[in-house]
Amino acid sequence: MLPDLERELLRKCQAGNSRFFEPIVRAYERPGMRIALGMMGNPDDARDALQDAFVKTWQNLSRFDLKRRFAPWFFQILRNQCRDALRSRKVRFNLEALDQGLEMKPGNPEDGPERRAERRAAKEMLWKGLERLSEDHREILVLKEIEGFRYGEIARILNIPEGTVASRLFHARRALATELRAAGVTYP
Amino acid sequence: MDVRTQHTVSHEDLMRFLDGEATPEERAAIQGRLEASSELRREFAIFRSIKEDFRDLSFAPQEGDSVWDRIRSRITQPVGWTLAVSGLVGWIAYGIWTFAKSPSAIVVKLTTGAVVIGVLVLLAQVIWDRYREYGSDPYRNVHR
Repeated sequence: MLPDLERELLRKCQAGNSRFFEPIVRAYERPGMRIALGMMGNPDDARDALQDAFVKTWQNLSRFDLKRRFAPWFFQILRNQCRDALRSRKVRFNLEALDQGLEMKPGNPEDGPERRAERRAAKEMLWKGLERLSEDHREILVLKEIEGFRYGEIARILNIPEGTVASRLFHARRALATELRAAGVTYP
Repeated sequence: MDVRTQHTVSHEDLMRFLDGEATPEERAAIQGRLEASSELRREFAIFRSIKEDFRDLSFAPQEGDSVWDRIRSRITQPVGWTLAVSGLVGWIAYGIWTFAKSPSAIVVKLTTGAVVIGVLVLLAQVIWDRYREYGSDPYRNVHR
């Protein structure tokens, strides 16, 4: 969404007109769902967290400074919502999420059934590995590897310095490598 | 992973290099250290392999599965409730005032008042019980 258009929509939302919130929700629900799914591990909990985050965004919109960028602010609310939800319920990474919300990127059409099975197994191992990580490690990997944010954006969403983003990513990747090794993945 | 990257390249610099966030000068320096250290290359290969595994994974929430309808009802309901409740309170207050000022016999006023107050107390009790149960209702988010 164009920044000027987004700012104009948010200005109208701040005036209390909820119908201008719809394009905002539609623009952010897909990246929001990806982040929530990566944090919560299953589509039901992810959808609940996403809805609650949008409602909180609406309720706090009057305090939002229109000179700032909306995306980091919203993703910060979503991240906090996911963490709040995980305090009251255990994280449940189910493999159904892989079929409902996750897809394999199209592979080489020449890949045989064996290669496809290998990729599927690797995906499942990665998914289960994510479940076993701490919330700090999981959220930074989701923001970086699944949503593809740059360090500056991650720093704004997590409210930490950019140097800490790099350091936390190192520890998160190392923890994930340890989990994957424990699950039988071998590295050269 | 027992290699101590800090002896050659800091953790942060290695991550910036991996994620394409390093400056050209930093890239050249790290590239040189990678060429000089097989242990560092091995460690870097592990991180790169994990990154590639993630690339293979793409989240694709289903089309047409928007959360907007549920959000709309949640953000408009409070406005509706506020208007409805304040209107109802005003309406009841006006009714009581009009009835109290009417020339009806005192017995009629007392009995009618008792019926109305009784019904309102029961209604308030039901609303309060429902409100208290709402927080623990496992089916509150179930939609037809």
